[in-house]
Amino acid sequence: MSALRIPRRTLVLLLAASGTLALLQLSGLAFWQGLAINFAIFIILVQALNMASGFTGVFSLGHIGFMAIGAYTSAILTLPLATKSEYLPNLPGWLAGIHLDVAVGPLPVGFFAATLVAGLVAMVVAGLVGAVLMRLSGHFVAVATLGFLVIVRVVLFNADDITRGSRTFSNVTPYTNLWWAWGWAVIAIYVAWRVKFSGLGRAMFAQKADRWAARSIGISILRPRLIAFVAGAFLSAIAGSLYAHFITSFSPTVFYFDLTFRVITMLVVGGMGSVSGAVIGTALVLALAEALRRIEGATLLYGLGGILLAVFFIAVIIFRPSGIMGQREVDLDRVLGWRPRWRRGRPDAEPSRRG
Amino acid sequence: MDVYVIQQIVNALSAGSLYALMAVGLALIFGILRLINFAHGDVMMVAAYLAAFSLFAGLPLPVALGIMVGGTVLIGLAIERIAYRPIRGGPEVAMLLTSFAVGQILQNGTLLLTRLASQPIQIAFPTPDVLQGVVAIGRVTIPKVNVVGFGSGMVILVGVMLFLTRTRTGLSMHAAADDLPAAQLVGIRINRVVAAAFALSAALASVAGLLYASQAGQINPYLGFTPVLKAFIAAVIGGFGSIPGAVVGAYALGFLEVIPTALGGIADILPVGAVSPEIDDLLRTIFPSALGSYRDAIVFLFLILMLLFRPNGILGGGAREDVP
Amino acid sequence: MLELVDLHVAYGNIRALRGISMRVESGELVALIGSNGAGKSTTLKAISGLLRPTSGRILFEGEDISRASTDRIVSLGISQCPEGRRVFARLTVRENLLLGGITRPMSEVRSDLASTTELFPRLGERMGQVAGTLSGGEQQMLAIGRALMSRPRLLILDEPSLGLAPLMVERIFEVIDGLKDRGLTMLLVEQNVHHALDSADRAYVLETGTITLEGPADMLRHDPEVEHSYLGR
Ligand SMILES: Nc1ncnc2c1ncn2[C@@H]1O[C@H](COP(=O)(O)OP(=O)(O)OP(=O)(O)O)[C@@H](O)[C@H]1O
Ligand SMILES: [Mg+2]
Repeated sequence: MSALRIPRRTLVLLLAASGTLALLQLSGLAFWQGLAINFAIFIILVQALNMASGFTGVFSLGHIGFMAIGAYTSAILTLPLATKSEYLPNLPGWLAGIHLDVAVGPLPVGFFAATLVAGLVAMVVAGLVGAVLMRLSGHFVAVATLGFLVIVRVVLFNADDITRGSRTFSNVTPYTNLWWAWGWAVIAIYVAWRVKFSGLGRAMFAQKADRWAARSIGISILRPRLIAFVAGAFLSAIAGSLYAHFITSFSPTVFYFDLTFRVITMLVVGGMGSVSGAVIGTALVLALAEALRRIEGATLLYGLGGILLAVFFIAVIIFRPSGIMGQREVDLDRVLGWRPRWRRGRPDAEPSRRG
Repeated sequence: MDVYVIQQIVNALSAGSLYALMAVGLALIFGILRLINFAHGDVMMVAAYLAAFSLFAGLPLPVALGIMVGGTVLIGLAIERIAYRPIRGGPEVAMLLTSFAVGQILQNGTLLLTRLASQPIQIAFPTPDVLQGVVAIGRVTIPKVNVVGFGSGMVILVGVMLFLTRTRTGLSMHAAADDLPAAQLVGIRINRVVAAAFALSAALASVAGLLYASQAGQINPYLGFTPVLKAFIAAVIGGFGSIPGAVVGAYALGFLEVIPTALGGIADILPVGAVSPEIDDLLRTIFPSALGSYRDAIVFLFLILMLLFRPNGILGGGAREDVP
Repeated sequence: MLELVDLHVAYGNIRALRGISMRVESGELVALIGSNGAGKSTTLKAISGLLRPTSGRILFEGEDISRASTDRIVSLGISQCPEGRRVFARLTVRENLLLGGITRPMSEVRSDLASTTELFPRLGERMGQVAGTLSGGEQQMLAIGRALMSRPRLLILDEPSLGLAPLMVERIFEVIDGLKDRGLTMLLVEQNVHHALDSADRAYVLETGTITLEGPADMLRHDPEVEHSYLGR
């Protein structure tokens, strides 16, 4: 029964989502298409932070740094040879020869490969950084990861030969479309969901709830934290690659504190530790930000949007500190009206704790 | 060469004073509330704006400074009352995130008000005359703002130390930082003590804001970010929560920061022929002139190493979790 | 002087006090005894305003103080010396004592320093020493001294003999007896039931949030239940 139900549910959802995307694609409504892509990229970023911080309680302020690494890596890797020699003449030899701009039929496999490589590069960096930083406690880890963000920014600004420094990096091929963005977003959601309800996920939540108790029943603290940090780095870099090939020109200033704070707001509003909450929080904050942006544009009161979003954020922290969902998940069956008489083996509100 | 060294030392001392003014405020509040007040940098930024607009309005310097200090203190008190008090004693991360949000409000609020005053985002700071120009001592010329910054910083810090160790309010702050419930049990009014800590830290930040803006010559709503991070590093170097530690850490950071810049330019300032070409080459490879632009990265790397290996600072609070 | 009426206190879902009533008359030394986790400290914290009762009243000389702030309660004359000493470790002995009198004018506090050091000569010798470096017994003296600096009319002591060497326990009880002779009203929580019942006029026994026994200390000392559970006879 349950073995049959899950694929059917997932299948229907995926079909519905694909149908919506296809309609959106056909409609030609550029604004909504752009918003949908943004939504997908933010979902990936928020799920990344959800794993790294929501699951483990280790607050990372550095994941936008991994996004930057992903964006620059993928953008450089996919530059066609001709553009590259002209645009980045001082690129080191080994990098100058790579051009992942190949396509098989309509499929830009080079872009896919570059995105994966971007993710891997971020993972390696995260592994090194995380092995050191995940030993810190509480808010000190937050500040140390913020330090990492600053370091990434300084390096991007100064590695002129590779990143063009403070100048805008443009000429990025616009590969990202609705399908790529949402394809990865679905993967991000799926990965986060699977991790949450796995043994590893339970270990993450257990050490978040109580470090000492977790350790006394034999759950290591460093390992789940590090894995979550690295997985989050991978997804952040994927989001970075998608962003780079969506916006097509950017500079190091984008990948800094404002964006970090935006992603945190989405996560906290949705509920740290909830996969469906992350999606809801992203949608809500994105919609709010978009509405406020329009109000700002109309009234010319620039800054008002930022103030109201921050006030909203503080209100959430004071009045609903665990966000909309807490660590719970949306019950899809109920939402979709499939209410089986008895449910078995379904992941429940919170991953059950071992021991 | 000696001129160069003296100038670098003065730069270090002046930066140290600025960081110390900021770091003491951070340490004061962290000590009592376990809150890393990241909005502190934005409070400093607001002070710079208050000074700038008062001076633009043609007010005499003392009045402008009064408005700057008074206004900043009021803002510090308002932040504490509205944003931090409701979550006092809550999870550390919630408090930290709230401080980020407060920072966003201050930045965007400043942006909004400058726009309403039809000013550009980046404005030239009307540096008061006393802080303009240079002081010449022999062949050494030092910007006045650095001298005044170092001097006034020292005087103010000594005053703060006296206040904290000699008055009952100051002692109450220590007591609240040591043991909050015990402090309540002797009858210390925690709300008052916390408010006093915010007022004092805002006043210190306002002086830092004035010095910073006079040095930079320009202000924008985002200028507080780097100073607060630096102040945090200074506080970590000194052992987070310790106030004398924060001061020592700030001056240590001031010196630490000039090292990359100083070494980066070392090959350029050596007189031609002072060293053999091989050594000159070596110096240029180890210490490229660009080293200075990596200063912030180096400083943060240092922060991370400090947090790991000397979490209690060079003097003697803690960060490392004993994870297996 | 102090009266608790049907007091309930909870930590979230945990009901720590389930309707306790007790009283302390002027000049009395009342002991509150009970096993670990019975709710003794919770009772004291509620009296001092560190915890808000979910229901019930706390009357101090007729005034309901169950909603008053801790500093107000101290000003009214209730001073508590908390469990585990809790001296201000980074401040000196003198500074700790000065802070004890924070609710009173500075000039009076300065003159009171002398009478406190008279009571605790050991502290007088160590006025400039940082409190964190004092021995456990000295810290307990300091904690009591600090609590006395507010000139309380009711002194509350939470396990003052906890973790001290036998000789030091004797010394602490000498101090308590001395304060009693001077007419100070006290509420004493003690694990050291033997000593507590020797010094006290009356006592209450608290078990899992309810008062199970009360009466004159002499009587409780010979109660079979108390003998069995708390005096180990
Ligand atoms: N902060 C808290 N949060 C949750 N429960 C608490 C808290 N403090 C105390 N409790 C619970 O309330 C009950 C009473 O605790 P209390 O400290 O008053 O006991 P006690 O009688 O003073 O014990 P002891 O002799 O060990 O000091 C205990 O079950 C304890 O676990
Ligand atoms: Mg107790």
